[in-house]
Amino acid sequence: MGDPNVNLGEEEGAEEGEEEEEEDEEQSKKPEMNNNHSMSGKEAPSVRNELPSHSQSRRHSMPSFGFSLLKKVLFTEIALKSETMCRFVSQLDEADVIIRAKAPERRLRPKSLLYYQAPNFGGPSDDVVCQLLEDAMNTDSGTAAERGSPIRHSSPITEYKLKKDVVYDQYGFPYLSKSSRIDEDDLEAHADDLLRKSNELNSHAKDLEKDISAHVKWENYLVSLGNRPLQQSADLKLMIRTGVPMEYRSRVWKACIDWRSSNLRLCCGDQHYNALLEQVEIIQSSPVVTPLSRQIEVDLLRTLPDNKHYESCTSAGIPKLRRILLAYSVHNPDVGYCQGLNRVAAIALLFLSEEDAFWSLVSIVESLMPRGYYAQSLIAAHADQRVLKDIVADKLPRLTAHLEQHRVDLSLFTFNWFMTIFVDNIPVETFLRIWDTFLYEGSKVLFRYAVAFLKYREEDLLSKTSDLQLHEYLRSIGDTMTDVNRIAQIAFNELNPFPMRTIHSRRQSHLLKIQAEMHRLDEMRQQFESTNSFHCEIPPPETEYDASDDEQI
Amino acid sequence: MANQGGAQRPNGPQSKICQFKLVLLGESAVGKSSLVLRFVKGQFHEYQESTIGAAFLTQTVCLDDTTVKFEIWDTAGQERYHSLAPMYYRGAQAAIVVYDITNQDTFGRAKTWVRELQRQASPNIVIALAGNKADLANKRMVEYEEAQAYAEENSLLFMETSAKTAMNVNDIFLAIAKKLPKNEQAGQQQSRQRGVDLSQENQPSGGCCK
Repeated sequence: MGDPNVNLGEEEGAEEGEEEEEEDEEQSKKPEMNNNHSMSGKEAPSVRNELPSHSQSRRHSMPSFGFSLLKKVLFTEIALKSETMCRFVSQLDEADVIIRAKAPERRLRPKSLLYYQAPNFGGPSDDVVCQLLEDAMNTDSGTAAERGSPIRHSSPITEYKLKKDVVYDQYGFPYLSKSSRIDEDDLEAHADDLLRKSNELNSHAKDLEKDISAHVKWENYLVSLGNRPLQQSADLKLMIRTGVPMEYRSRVWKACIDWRSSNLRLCCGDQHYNALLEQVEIIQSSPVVTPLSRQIEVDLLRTLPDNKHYESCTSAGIPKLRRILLAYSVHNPDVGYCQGLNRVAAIALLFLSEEDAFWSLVSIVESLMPRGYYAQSLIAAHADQRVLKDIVADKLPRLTAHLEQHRVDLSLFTFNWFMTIFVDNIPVETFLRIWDTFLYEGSKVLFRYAVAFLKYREEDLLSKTSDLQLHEYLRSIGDTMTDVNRIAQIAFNELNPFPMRTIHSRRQSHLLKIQAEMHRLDEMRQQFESTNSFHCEIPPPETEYDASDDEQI
Repeated sequence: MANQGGAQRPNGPQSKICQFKLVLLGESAVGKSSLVLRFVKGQFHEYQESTIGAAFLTQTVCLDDTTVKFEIWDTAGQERYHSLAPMYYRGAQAAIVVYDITNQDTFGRAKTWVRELQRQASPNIVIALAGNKADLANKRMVEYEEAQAYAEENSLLFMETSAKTAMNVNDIFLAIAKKLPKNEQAGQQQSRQRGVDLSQENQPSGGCCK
């Protein structure tokens, strides 16, 4: 099942055949799709007033001419693109697209919402387009004179006001960054936001046809399965590489988690999570607050503070996230709680029930990532950064030479990508796509995407002439990763061969070196510290390499 | 390029430009990222996303005839991320060690960081101690005098700050900028490694006037 447009597995043969098929694995769990628990869902963006009243009375300063022009250009582009998409989509028989305005007279006007209803079409950009149009048309109050104007003749674009209302995407993330929402005068941040949106729209519009074709493929695949559980197969792997449509993501992720955690679940029993929750309740009722539960508590509202599911104590996601993190710390005391796992669990919770999100954390820490990744000294995470440098040196020698010339250490920026599975200032559609393949294939995907990001922006990076310029570019390189299909193509086609065997052996050799370094550091610290000891828990060397361990079909 | 917030713009063409690497260290949730956000963008978020690994920002301040550009490395606070810290403080000319005045433990942790910097970082590193969350004085657990005495003993700059109200935030960065050597020789990188090199790479040097 090769996608004629994307072909994200075309050169599998070049991967030295390390990905052995492990089909027909008996699935004990029914892959029931339980959306009742997941917090996401296709819904019109909700609107909420966020800023305190005093700031609402503030008038933002008059934008400079250059900025007005920039906005004008962007909005014109957005409006044109939206129209093109409407025309395109409405030509599709199967998509049954209805475009309607909320206004009773069915004419477009400021403050009205456009709904692009496409029941058989799960393209990612309908809400985005809707929101962009609303943004573009939005004025302070929608005066009578403005009502009834068509899109292109609605309020003058130069009078566009920075939004005070927060509008969220289908995953609960706001369209506008916090900086530009909070500081009305931060025109730079706002321009960045508009540019980012424009780029996202560009990517989505470009790939609309591909997305529809992929969606039809998914639908056919799942229909042919009927009630049977998803099976690991080469076809499914390729389909996942081309992207899992939003409405099937819960089912696919649950299947991946079930495959990864089935053995553990058998050992621990069906009631494992509930039993852990009972222990959590005991911990919570105790007057003694452990440093670990204090850290979890402190981080809850600092996990995805912009996302509507996690933005306040009363948000639906917060108590679930608390229980999952506390339960995991009881389940795996060696890891306990590591900052970064909160983001991982929060993203899993967007698509999975609480218990499945817990098992996804188990799968990620104990199966998908190498041992010792999140444990006390993060030693395996350090090792992976060195493995990444090796691979970059191999795949992108010019870039490596350039970075060395300016003495720039990549891991200062890439470390977070691995710890958080790319939930780190990277466009949501992009990191979800990474998650799709990561959950199915394992941690090798993280290297593929990290190198793909760098390859995608290699020329830009090579054009920087100082360490400071490189640092500044690398700081925000994730923001620019909107063209997820192009990046996936680099990751899965253009970087091949990408053998797991090499990654594994490099991991082992770096792990040994770091163990020795950490041991020396630990000794030095202990020598100096009489009161504070630095714990360095070093996991035993991993067992013999098993291809099926890290990567399965 | 880097001047994103309300900091002063460089003076004129004659002014000297100095570039310094500054690292923030301290226990989790004491307000390291909030101090940086306040300094760089003039903003404050009640719930600032917890920092994983580290975040990089820049800000420029003007001092008489000198423009000082800070390359700021804001680090993660959780104990286990401690093993990353040498990557960030190596080659740094300045450090702000932050504690929370409402939490005595964080002050103890700050002292540990100061000791580590004194031993492992560049010998001439300028260290500032920031007692953050000064707006929560009614919940104070660390006395001003105690911290001040400690800072004096260890030759640290010291201020109580509040990222929330902006109290002393620009001031502490300015005080550091003033204390940093701005002549050709003094700002040179002291990149001679002392201790174990965890990342095998030397950090780029800064601190020289251009």
